[in-house]
Amino acid sequence: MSPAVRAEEITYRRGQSTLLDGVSLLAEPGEVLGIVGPNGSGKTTLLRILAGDLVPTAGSAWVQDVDTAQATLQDLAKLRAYLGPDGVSINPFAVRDVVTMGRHPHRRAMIEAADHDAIVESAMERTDVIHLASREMDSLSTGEQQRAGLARVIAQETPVLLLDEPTSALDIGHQETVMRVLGSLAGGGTAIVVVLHDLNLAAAHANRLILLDAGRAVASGTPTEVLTGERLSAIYRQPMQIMQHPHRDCPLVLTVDSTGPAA
Amino acid sequence: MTASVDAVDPRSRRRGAAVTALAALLLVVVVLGLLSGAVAVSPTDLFHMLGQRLGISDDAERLTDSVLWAIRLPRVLAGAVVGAGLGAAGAALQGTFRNHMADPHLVGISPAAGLGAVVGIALTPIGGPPLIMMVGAATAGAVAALLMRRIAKRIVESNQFILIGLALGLGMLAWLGAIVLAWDSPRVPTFTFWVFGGLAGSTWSTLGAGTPVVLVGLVTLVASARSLDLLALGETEAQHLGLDVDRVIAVVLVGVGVAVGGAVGLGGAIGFVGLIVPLLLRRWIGPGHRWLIPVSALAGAAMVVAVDILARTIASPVEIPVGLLTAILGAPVFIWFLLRVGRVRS
Repeated sequence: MSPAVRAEEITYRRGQSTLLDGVSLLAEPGEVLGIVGPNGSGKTTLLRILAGDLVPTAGSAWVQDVDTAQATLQDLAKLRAYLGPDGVSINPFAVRDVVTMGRHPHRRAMIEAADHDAIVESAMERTDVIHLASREMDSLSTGEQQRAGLARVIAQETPVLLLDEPTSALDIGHQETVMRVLGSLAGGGTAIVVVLHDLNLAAAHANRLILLDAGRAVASGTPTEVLTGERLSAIYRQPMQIMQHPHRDCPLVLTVDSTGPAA
Repeated sequence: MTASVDAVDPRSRRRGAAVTALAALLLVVVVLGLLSGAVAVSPTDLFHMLGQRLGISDDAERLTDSVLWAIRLPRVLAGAVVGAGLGAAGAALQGTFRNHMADPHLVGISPAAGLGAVVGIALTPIGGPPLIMMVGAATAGAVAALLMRRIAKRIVESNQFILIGLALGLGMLAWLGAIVLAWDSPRVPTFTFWVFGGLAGSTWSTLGAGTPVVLVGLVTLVASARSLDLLALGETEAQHLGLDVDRVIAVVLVGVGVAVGGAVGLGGAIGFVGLIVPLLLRRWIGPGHRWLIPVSALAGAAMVVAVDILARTIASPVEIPVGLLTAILGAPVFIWFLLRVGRVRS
């Protein structure tokens, strides 16, 4: 099986600054790949290159076997869905209308209207916005808008989901809900590439991580391999310590006052 | 304002009611428009004229027949066409720029269309058809709309967008005024017409030239309705759903410019119709452009015909320019809306 997402030696320069420097990654179908790293390390730029929004200065990115820099917008819309980090400012449409817009790429396919509706309803159920279906988007809280946005990209039913901090505005309960939803989507064969700030969320829910610093991929692998105290303390300029999560089979990242004895 | 859980979207029920009510309103104001004016006309006169025109009646021709046929009917119809063009253009413009304060008049498209109309008149041989003026207005309207898109791409603050449009419009209006005053030709409508509009000069000839232009604009906008819905998500998001955003916006803006151009060629610069009609309708029937654009056309038509009746009658025999009255009615609504938005945001 070909990888769902592949990037090879991506370099992206804007003006004088190099935002990405030779980054490669691979995500297989059924996998949650987390992109982590400090502010300004190039996470969003990398995701937007995978989405086909930005054309890399050097290197290439593919979704399935399609080069994202050369694909048509219509083809890309059937291959990958993208959820940006920003809340929607002015959007007078109801949540159900917005989630239905996610079906737009499949509007010309031979699909019954009832099937479109069922997909929309199930996406809203998954992200816990079904009770908000008739509410206008701009009457919702940021967190509710974020979950409605996630329902929209789920309804797009693409083999690849690209998500930029989908939990940034969510309370801790909904953070876990959303990450579990991503896990179950991956269980269904979707490849998920997700930018996350919260290292513990990434450690608990991503199958593999890629850690960026100043535009370079400094580590990639399982959370246990990538998240080491020494590495994180250096990159984030903040002493950190790694423990084993008491109940989950994953590392637990703690900020500390000074680098103490390793756990 | 928001629906209860599990209720059928109340907007779909309201749409039917809105279309019925507005169509009835349009019919009423059209009849009232035909009946009111300096020469007294009764409903029987109206039927007499229709009978004459349709060749059903053999009665002798009355004075009211020619008043109705040659003066009032083209004027009332021109009002409806102008209102339809402005209402639909306003709805599409607000959707394109995701800015509910956008109005063809406020962002400079109407003044540009006026300038284009005057250039068109200058290019028309004496006694030539009014279509050249309409095409001039439509072209300039489309160019101004596309220019505003370029400006909008460079800025983030929505109020800044309106202010730039306002400055653009005032600048164009000044050029227009200077040209009209300096040229001082009976072929060019007065400066008042270009600033505050007026339907007094409507004839079958101008109506015949302006209506197809407005219709081309309207059809373009209605055809782009679904794409405009997707734009509400944001341009990047719409693009991720496969929409060629730049192309769609260019098509819509040309449609806006053409509809406004036809409207300005027919009725001069009439402000606030394109602003308040979609603003109020969106709250009534919802934001979906497949309904909002045609229903805005219907409501805009009824509004301009109604306001034109006031314009002709309140200070009779003096006529108040129709755009003055739309501004008197529209300005408070606009301010109310700005204050409401300010309260929500803060």
